[in-house]
Amino acid sequence: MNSTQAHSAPPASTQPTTIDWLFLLSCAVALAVVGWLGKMAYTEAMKTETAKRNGEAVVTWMQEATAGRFESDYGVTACAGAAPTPAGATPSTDKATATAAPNTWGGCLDAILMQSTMKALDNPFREGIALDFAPACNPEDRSLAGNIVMEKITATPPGSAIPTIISPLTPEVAIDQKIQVRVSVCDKGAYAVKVAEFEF
Amino acid sequence: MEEPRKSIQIADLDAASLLGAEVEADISPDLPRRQWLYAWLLNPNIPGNYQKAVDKWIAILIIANLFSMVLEQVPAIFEPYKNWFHAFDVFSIAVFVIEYMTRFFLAPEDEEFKGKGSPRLAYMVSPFAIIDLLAIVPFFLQAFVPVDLRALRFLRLLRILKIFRILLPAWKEFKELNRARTFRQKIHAMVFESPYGGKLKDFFDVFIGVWVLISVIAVVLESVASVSYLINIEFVILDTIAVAIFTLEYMMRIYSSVEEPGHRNPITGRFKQFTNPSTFIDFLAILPFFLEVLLHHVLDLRFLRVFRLARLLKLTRGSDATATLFKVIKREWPVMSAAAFIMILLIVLTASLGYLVEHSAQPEKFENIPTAIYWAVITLASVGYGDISPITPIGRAMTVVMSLLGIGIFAIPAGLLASAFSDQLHKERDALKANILRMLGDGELDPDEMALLQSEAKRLHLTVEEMNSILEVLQLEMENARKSLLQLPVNVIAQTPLHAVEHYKYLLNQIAQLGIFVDQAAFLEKAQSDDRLTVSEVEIWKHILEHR
Repeated sequence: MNSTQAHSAPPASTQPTTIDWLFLLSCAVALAVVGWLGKMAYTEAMKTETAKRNGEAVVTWMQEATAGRFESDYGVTACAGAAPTPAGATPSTDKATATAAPNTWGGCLDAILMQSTMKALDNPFREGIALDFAPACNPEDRSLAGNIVMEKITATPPGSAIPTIISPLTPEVAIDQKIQVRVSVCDKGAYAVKVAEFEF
Repeated sequence: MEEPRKSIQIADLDAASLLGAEVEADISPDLPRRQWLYAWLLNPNIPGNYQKAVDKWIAILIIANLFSMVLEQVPAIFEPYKNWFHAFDVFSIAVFVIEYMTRFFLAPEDEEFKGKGSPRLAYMVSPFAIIDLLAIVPFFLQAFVPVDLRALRFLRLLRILKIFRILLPAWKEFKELNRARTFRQKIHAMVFESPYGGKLKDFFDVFIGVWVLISVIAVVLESVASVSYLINIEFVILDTIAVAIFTLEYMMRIYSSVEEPGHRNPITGRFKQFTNPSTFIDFLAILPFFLEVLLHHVLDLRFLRVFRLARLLKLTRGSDATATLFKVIKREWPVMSAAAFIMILLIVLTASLGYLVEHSAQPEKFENIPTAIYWAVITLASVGYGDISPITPIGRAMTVVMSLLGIGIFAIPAGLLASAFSDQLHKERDALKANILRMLGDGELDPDEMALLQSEAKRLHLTVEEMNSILEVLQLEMENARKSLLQLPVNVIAQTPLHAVEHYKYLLNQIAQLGIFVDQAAFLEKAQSDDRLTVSEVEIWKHILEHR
């Protein structure tokens, strides 16, 4: 809006009046409030950052703990995958081997949690409560904030409308074959923040 | 000392310079080298030289340095591009060193230092030169003295001080313009358009504009998961700074709105300003921040973040194109609402018919009239997603007709707007012409009128050719006006000094022409013999003939 016709009557004094000082004071208060709210937002954002660092730690730890799980001399039996059948070899006819149930994610997780330092990690959104796993982040349940979510990514056949199906990595999921895993953390609103995808 | 403000005659008006088009600097190549270089690079009083461009690019480099320093604090950005940051730093220092050396070398030509005993020494101890030196010294310091990296980063911040080379003159000009004005009037001059804002107001607008862009880019990038994952904290800090700036601007606007015409009452005036659409946009730009931070424990208000994009609307405040568009929409509103009424009528009728004809054939797609309205709009607007389509022969026949109708009916508002927009521009250009004619009532343009003319010409996006043709028409009109002047009674002519002068010139020309055609000796003999002319009248006659 052009205000070239703004009031141009000569003022009595050009010195700041009490009202002017009050305005300056209110500006200072407004800045202080914005600063304080900014600090609150920063603190909350830092909690999400901590949750992300937790997620990264879990990813690193899982990759290290389960590296070589398809090799014959792998230490954690509960996480071992089925050794691939050599080319040209006939499938095993051993009854015990054929009927043995494959390892599951739940068993593997329990086994490696025993030897990990993961228990030392805290949920940044819930003071004093250790980090936990959740099947999925759900914005309607904000108590999930800070939890780790592990999902299994399954590729769909070529030509499908969607390239992959993502499902929760529940304890009963078999891990005898290589699976693609996605690790996420739930932020303060319990929305998922993707941390990493890797082959397990 | 400031040059006196000169008025300009219409014949001297140059369309190119009026529109700020490139003017070639009038600098003699025969000047001594130092003088020639100063004239091209640093002399602020020579139009068309590179002084403004040098200042502009140095200012851009300073701002880029500021951004670079901020981005260096973000490891996710700094680490992968460390070499690029270093290269940019070296480039900046090289430019600043060249600038410093050039100013040092050319100091004897500068009006400010010319009269001093040692102009270069005087330059070196001047505040701006000290600032310039502080901007480059830390870089060289690290080569000779082991400086802590944090201290070095702090010292690099001194580079920002160079911006004062531009800000200080603007601040002085602002102080001068607002010498006898109150604090509130000064605040008003800073945030509202007025003749008291000067360059500082322009810088303030640019500053706000840059922050609007930064915060909008941040909102857009926040939606990119990979970026947000890396620099989420930086986005939070950036948003807090942006909100602090916009809150201050908003408060300044509300507080000083009392100085606006029609807002004199301290309470109702400010409330009127608060309800003003553009100020309300300012309010919406800061509101999400306060709500989200205060209520995040109770509600998930992240959807409000999208409203931060409303900050982009702040940029429309200074946009003349947007103002013209709103003016056009307001003017054409009755016609557009009539077109909208026909459109709605057609949509409802078509949807009802579609429902009637297709419901029995495909009840799941044409389930009810609201679903059929969706189909009608998609078909009439020629979008044609194809998710709902008629299958009955009558339905298909009806679709053919309504598609053809839709092309015409839906095009009406667009056509109306386009023609009204062009019409409005023509009107404004005619108004500009009338304005120039009015301003040239006294035959010349004073500097204020020139400034108004320049801003109007820029607002209407006139080309040099268009401006030239307007000036030619004006000159012709003024010539015609002068001719028709002669037919007016002398007492009417005498009311306007310009007209009186023109009339006097005309009369002198008439006497001179008479002197050329008449037999001089016979004229004087006749005039003196019968005492038809007095001695002084004869003297004036002789004087006019001698000097014309």
